Amino acid sequence: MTAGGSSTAARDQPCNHAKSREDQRQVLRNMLLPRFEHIVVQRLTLYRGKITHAIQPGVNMVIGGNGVGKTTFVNAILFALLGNAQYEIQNLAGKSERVSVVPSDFFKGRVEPEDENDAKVTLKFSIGRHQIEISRSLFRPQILALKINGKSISGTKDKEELYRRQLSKLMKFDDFEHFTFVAANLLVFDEARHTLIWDPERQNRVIRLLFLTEFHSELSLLSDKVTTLDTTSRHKSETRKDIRRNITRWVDSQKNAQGLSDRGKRLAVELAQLEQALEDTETEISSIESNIEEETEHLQQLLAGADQLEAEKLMAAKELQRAEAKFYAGIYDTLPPEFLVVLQTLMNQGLCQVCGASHGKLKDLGQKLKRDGKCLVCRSPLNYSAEATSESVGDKVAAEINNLREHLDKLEQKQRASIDAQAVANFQVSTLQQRLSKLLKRKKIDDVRTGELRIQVQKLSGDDGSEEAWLRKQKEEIDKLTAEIDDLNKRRATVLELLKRVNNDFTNRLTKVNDNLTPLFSQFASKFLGVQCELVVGTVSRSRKPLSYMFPRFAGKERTNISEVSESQRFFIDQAFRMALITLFSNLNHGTTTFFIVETPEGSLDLAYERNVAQMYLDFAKRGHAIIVTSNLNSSNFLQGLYSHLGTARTKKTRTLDLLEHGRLSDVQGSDRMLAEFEKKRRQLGITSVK
Amino acid sequence: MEQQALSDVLFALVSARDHGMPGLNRTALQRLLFLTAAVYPLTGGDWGYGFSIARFGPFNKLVNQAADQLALRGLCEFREFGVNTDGNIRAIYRVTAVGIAQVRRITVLHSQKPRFEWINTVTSALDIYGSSVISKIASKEPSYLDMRSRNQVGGIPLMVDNKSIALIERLAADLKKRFNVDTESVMEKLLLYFDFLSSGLLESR
Repeated sequence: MTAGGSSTAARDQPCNHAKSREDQRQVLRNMLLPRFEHIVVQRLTLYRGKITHAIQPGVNMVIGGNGVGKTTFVNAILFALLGNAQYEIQNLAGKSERVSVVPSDFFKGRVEPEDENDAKVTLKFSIGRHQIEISRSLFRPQILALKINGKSISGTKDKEELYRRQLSKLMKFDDFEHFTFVAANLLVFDEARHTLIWDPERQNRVIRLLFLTEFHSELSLLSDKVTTLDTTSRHKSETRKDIRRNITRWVDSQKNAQGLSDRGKRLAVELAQLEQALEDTETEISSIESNIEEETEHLQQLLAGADQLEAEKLMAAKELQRAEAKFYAGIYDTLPPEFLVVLQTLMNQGLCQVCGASHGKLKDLGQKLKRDGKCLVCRSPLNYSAEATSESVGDKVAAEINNLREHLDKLEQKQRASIDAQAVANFQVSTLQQRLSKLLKRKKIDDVRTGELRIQVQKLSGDDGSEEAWLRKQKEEIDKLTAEIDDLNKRRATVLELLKRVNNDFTNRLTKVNDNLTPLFSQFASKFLGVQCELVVGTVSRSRKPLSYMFPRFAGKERTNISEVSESQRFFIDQAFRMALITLFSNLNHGTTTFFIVETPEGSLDLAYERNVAQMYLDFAKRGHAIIVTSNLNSSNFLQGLYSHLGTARTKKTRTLDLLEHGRLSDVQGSDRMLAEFEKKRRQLGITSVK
Repeated sequence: MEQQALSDVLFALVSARDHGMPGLNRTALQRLLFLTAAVYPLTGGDWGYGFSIARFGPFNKLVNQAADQLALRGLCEFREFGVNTDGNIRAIYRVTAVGIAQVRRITVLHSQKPRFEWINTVTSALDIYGSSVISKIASKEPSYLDMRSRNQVGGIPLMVDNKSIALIERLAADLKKRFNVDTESVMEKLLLYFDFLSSGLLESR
């Protein structure tokens, strides 16, 4: 390695990160998340009077028709908790942007002018054994009051900063933005219906923030570094293109200049064309290099998948062999019935059933052979206790064999598909490499010819030397930029290699997390789907960087793509995934409990699944978390399924925030007929109505 | 493979019984299973074990021993039992009630049910000619015949270069070309094939 190479490598190595990751792993963080207790919302135009509501562990319902303020109520909770805190995400164009959980002006239009000073939300919640009470103005970004463990915080210039710092410390997050991200992307399934399970970027970040914290900074740092090197390299390429365009323009101007001979003009035109062709070639080379990298990565993933398939197939074949041996042993390896007759007659009567001889000593011989467990004739060892497999056991083994064979067939199908895909990827890589090799050759020739032409055109243009100096400077600039771009690309490759190595470690740990997560996910998702579900760890390439995440597999098929499941499946599988993550977090952190908000889930449900979803929520709720569900009273089965487990009418009432009582109803909603309808629904659910 | 040969012989004995045959001797078992294996590629499957050329026709050692092993465990019984001058046991084997019950258990397996049905199908097709003709037809199987005619020994090729399947395809194509008759079902193809073999046309060619 050259001195430059080693310095490049040293420059891009995040210092001692592997070591610090190990150190961090030693520290038991015991993280926490907030647990809501009580909320008061006052002076919002949408609601008549003040809403005071206790949020309890278990199911909490927020019911009401369209436009009565269900989303506003959810946003009031989140605003009280997070204020206008933002987090960074990559938008669809791949650029970073900061987003708020609750838009900063969300409540402004929902406050009457006379209530601007009084409109506020107060949220009481706990983090572990610490009590927090915060009041925020709903009109302006301001904390009106803050109490931590009953002690008012006053006299501080920046309460918001203090609140965020204190909360991060209590929950053991490195940064409030990390918690904001987790709250927005894990703890709330809102009307936007973003799924976490099919969003590798967001999911990867949630996992890093909650479960594999030791990887968070290192992976972020390396990923950012690759992005920065990419961007810088791209910018420098653009600058180089600009310089080349300037030279081309200069050459164009020269060829029209009076002093230039016909030969000079011809050469200038050729130079201009060559410059353009060179630029096109470089663009194509860069694009092909990028494609080769992506295809190679894809190929590597296919090969890793093929290894995994082969291992699975071997295991399944071994299992099948074992089951078949057991099955056939019950049919073909049993002791012939005649043998026992011969033995018994020999032992009891001293009569040989093989040749007909009779002798007293034969009794002893029979008993000896029985004792020794050997055959009378060939002395092979026998197992007298081995009976023919019973029919029910045989049926079970037969079902197991059929399942294993089916599984093996599927694996073989997958293997064939993988081999086809590998052949395609190999062909692509080889075609791209051939094209690249041709382009590199052409570039080399064009480079030499361009250099020659530049000198000749320069000579023929008969300039006074100043333009020659300018041209030389431009050329030097291009060479400098080319060297810098090459260096950046080398550094990028080094950092990317490092990122891949760390991501491999991360993937191994993620697989272990998955071992604990899958049973929980299966428990929730199977309640909804009615079939066994599991999570599979996979790696995708995003902006040519590896990203590991988990995706679902059910009914024997991996669902890596959101389009492979129906609309209702995608939302409720995602909710099952979130519930599993929250439950695992709780299990790993001394049973800490928190909240999960789901907005109007019944909108995406078909009749068959309504009760299943209710059961899934109840199963989550019984673990002590508060699940806050908003509903517009649309789906009877879903609501009946939930309410039938909420206890007495009084309990149902305390667990329900009925916004039809607090909200301002539209003319349609407020009509006698509709009010009667709503009342009927409430009665069906067992909520006593107070009009 | 040993278990598969045992199951195949048991299937053949049940099929023979279902078609009213008194039982099968070892030669008949060898030839019936050889013919069944020869036309098995029609189903797209692999028979799993092969047959080789022997003095008395197509032969497989596992199939040869299977009937006695089944009899020992009570899955089939001897009829017309005797010992040949060369010391070999001569017998006709007939399936017992225990054997029939075990076939019912084995055919619960998805891999075995189609195999049993295939043996049954071939037995049905051959039953038209009578059990005594089965042995004669087996000796006219084209892959076997081809090896015999060239005095070759060893395994009879049934998976690659299977001449039975090639013959079936040629016969079906000829029938379509000359008489515009389609042979769509497997049974139609088998009958066409066995008709051709029993007619002795192949040898005369």
